[in-house]
Amino acid sequence: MIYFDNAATTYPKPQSVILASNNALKNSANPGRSGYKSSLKASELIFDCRQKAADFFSLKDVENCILTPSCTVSLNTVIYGTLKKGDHCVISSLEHNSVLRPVKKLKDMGVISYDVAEVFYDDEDKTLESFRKCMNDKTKLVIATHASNVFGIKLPVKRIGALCKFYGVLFCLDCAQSAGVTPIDINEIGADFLCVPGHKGLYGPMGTGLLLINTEKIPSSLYQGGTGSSNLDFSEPDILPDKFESGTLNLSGFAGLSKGIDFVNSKTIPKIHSYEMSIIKRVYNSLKSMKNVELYTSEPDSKRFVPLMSFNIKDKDPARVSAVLDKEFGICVRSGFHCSPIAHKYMSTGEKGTVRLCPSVFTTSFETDKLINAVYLMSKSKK
Amino acid sequence: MNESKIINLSSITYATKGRNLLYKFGIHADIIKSPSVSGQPSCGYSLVVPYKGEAAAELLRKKGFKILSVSEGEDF
Repeated sequence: MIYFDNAATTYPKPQSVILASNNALKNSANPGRSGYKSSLKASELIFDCRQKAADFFSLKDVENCILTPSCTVSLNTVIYGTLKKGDHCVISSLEHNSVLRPVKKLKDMGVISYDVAEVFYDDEDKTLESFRKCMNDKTKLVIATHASNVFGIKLPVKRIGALCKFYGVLFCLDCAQSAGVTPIDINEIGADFLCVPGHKGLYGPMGTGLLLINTEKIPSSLYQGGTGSSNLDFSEPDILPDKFESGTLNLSGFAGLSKGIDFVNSKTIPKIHSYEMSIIKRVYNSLKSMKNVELYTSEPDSKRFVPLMSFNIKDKDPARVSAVLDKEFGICVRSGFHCSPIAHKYMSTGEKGTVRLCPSVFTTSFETDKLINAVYLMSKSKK
Repeated sequence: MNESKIINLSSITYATKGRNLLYKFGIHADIIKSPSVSGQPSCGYSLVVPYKGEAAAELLRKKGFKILSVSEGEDF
């Protein structure tokens, strides 16, 4: 199997991740509930992951690093926990449904209003200006993806962070496609919240996510329950991370994620980024020379893109392209709209969607050649 | 004074963070499930500090830890 669907989840996972997850599943009790050795050992695994994640994103207080089931849950926690009746929020034109849908639902319920700031990947000033124009005196939260999950386009997040600070607006950054492939310092960016998946660029297991809180304006929690702390109180504890971690944590998942972060640190982000960008540039330039292949951005560069891209073959349905790549060439890619309808609207690919490609550190030169050759053969074929 | 103390913290996260901090200052501490204090039920987690217990508590306070109680640690 040749795997180019790492934007959905990285595959394969490092052996250290698999071993750590298996060991935790075999050997550990419930973390943060009891005082015997096995439970305390489980708690150590959880703390270890939390500390590594906080350090990875330069978050000062380890307790402000919340372990969640997914990036989507992290985003929903920020959106539902922050926005109240009458508030306004701004999202970018490249957002995933994990932002668009909760925001739209709150709007449909008559709770909030929101505006979409258009992103111009070749003009940061215009992007900034569109965010500024969307903000008003009711704006409480700006949510932006760090990088589009369809086109790989990075947003000028430091400048958006500075804009939010200037207007006193909370800034939430969706790092679904950037964590692990581009450096992220929560303070340098000026983000109040980072939402991160554990199973993509951090190479952890599915079912793991992070919410990093870098503000004293703590959201309300989505759900309540047992935390192993303040057990006699009828109300949830206000302390972090307990406020957001009711219920038993995914120990085997976070034990694996801890090793995933180690893996990324050992490779180093500059090397990962450089390697994956070299693959995506090679694919882009090869596909660009093919007569029937459609591309949607200029050549990806390190400043403006993360290593993922979309393409189409003229007169061919992306789902058909994906199916043939799988069936005839053993190549895994994702086709369609990638849960991001507004991104397609703004990039004019809304009629049929795209085929998306995303390498990982495990992608080889040989596999890249096979992909390029397969797309070439398909672009020449009338089938 | 080299007194033993039990330092009651609000959660396992703070207990682990506190233990790691004390370790950096050369103070050994173990994490335990919090015992009842003066007949009052307790929950969450505590640090048992066999030596320099008061100094450990003071250090944690200075570093911003919310300490729920400090009790004698002789029984642990």
